[in-house]
Amino acid sequence: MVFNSFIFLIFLAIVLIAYYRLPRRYRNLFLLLCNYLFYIYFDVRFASLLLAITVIDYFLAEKIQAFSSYKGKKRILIIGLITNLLALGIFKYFNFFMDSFVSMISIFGFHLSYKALELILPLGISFYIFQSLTYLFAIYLEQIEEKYTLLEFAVFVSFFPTISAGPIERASNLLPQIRQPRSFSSSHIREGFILITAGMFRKVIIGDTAGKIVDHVFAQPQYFASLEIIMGILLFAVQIYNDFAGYSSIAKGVAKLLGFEIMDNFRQPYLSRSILEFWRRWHISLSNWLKDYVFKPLQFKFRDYDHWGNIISLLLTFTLCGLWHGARWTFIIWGFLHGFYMSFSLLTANLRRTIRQKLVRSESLKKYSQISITFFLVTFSWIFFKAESFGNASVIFERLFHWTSSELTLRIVIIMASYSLASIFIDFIEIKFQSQAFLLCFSKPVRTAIILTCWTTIFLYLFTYEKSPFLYTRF
Amino acid sequence: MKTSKRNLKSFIIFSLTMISGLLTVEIFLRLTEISLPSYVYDDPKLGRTFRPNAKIFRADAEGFCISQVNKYGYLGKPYDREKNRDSLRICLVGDSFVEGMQVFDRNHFRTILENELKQGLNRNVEVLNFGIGGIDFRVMYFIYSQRILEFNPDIVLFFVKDDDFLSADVLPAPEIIVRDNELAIDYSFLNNAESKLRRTFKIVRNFSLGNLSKEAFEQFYLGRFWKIVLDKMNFLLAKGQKQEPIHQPQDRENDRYFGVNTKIIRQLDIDANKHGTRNIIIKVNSWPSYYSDILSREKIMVFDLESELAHYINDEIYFKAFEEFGHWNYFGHRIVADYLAKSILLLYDQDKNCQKE
Repeated sequence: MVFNSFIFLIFLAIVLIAYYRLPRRYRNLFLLLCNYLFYIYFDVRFASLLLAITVIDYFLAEKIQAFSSYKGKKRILIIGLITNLLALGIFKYFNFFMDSFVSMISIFGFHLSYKALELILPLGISFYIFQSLTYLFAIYLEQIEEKYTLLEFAVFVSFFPTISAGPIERASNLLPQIRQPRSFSSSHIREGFILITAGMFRKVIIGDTAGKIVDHVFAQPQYFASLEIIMGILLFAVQIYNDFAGYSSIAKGVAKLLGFEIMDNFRQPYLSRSILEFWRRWHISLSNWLKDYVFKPLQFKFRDYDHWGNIISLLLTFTLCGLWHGARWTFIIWGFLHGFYMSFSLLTANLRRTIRQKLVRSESLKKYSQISITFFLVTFSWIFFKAESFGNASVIFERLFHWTSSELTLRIVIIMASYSLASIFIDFIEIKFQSQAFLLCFSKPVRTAIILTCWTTIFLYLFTYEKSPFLYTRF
Repeated sequence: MKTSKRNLKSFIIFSLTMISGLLTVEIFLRLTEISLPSYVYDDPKLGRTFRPNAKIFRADAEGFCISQVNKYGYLGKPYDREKNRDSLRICLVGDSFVEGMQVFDRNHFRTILENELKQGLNRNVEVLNFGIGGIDFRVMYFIYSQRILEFNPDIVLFFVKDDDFLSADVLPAPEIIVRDNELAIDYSFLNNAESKLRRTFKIVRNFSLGNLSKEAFEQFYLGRFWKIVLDKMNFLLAKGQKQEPIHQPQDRENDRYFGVNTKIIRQLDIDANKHGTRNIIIKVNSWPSYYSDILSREKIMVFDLESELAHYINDEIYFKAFEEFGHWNYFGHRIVADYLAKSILLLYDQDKNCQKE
């Protein structure tokens, strides 16, 4: 069930009432049942893989804990990694790699045929596998010393607020909370509800509506004028941010209602002054995961190559990051592009600093120019992220570089500006009040009126139009 | 006393914030065009009519269109009522296929046809789009007689599908009926429930938020409330509720509109001679054969678009809306325009040959 649906709101209300009425010792068991109910609502077949991964990882972690030798622990960790990545590989990447392989060897005149696997991609597979792996890593690195039960671990892996699109929680953060007794707190309920309201507004009113335009522009770019293509690209930047930040905010809010504190996944990323900063503020849980478990080990491996070691590690990490998002070459290009941006900024850091010092004296001008350049680079890379194929992306570039005017210029500029301003406005308020639950800072009548206005609009929209799935649930 | 003062203050702050919040949402909806004030209104004389100069924005499963009703209240380029003598003026009338709010005007067959005819005939051509969603053949005739003729067309193209002949129009609109063996207009629609409901929403629909509310209410009105709320769990309530299939009569005896449709077809022939227009019916899909017989008897020209479209598979020419095929897509519009241009050019060639002979 998706967050932006009435059925989810009904489900959440029932879960909350039952959850807080139950004796504490039954709450985890009840939560596990709710997690699976939430998950099988999408498709009952998805649950078996989730269950298998949970059981396998739990027992592998037990094994790691049982071994006293470093070698033994490492061997089990590798088995765990292979098992998890194999599951991910088969369900998510098998057909992609086979297709690519067959196309590649056909260049050399060999013609192979294979039967594509007719597999459905289990929802949130990339998220829960990465989340489950954090437990294996934490046990291996001895960050977790306590022994958790299978029930607690199963609640952690299938935690319904985060299972479909993250944040990818760390075992060291969530498992202790699962073990702790949780009691009803009206301040948690208030904050959780505000986070859900803000997230729903972002997702339904900003993200989904922008997405309607984006989908059409990217589906058949050949029919649109250059400015309309720019609108499609810019609105995709708005859509993906509000869709995903909206999801994360709802997830955080739902977790809060249940008495859990999960990590922030976004911190106004489009206001970053560099790509490095962007990745510290965008999809924070994934970038931290990749930093800790991919980049750092790679950096260690290539430590003798100085600067170039960092660059190779960056390029590999970001290419993997692209692949994590989906089995498509355009995702890989998107990831590689970010790796390239980071490497380029690393190589030219000194030169850029000198130029900046000589050319730009004003601090605010420097700040805004850096934000603009970063935003431009990120938005440019979204073209590959959104385009279904190279062909599609090349038509977009062709339309951009051979300028064609639109008879609707003013309206398109107004639409672009309005979406961007709305998105920036929410970011601005979040920064000003230093909280995503900024409505808590207002007086009760103001807060109630704003919440009521938001929900009126959200309900009207949900009633009128088909609900769109969250973009990141596809990954 | 103190508490009641505090409560009053809270209430005033709440109300003011609520009003400002709704205003902000209204502005946001208008600027982003997520929801605009309605571009149609229910005119007591003309029925469902486009609001002149209203903005149009549609982006749904089927297509995407940003457009505007012109100052004369039809779609496409605004052409004045008075026609330049050297120009060829073509008026299109039909339902949502002709309205074509799935593509931008530049990709609509209206524009493509206009450009192709300009090139082919080497003269100025003006194509005016009077298409409006949800109308049937009788409403098409109503629009023709009440609005299109004012614009002095040379050719009027009526885009007719099977259900345009067979079914009653779903919109509350003036109805063409036969009274004393003559065509007449019946305004009884003004008393029906839907018409009253629409009039209730008249002011509300001038606001973006109001129009959104009206659309949401429509879902409720159409009985979709529980389906939307309960999603997959709707089966709990939907048990036993079977939707009756809509019965379309395919025989002349049961076709309650056959009489009036026949009369309209005859009248089109009379009007063509009277106003010097060429009225052509575009066969969009299969009609019952008895309509073809009437049309051939009355010497009304028919362009068989259906046969042309049959060369293509559905995927090529229609947008896919969810699991079903919807309106013409970009390629579909191109095919329709090419076919119409070819047919009209052929017609003018034949005319030239006749004149020579």
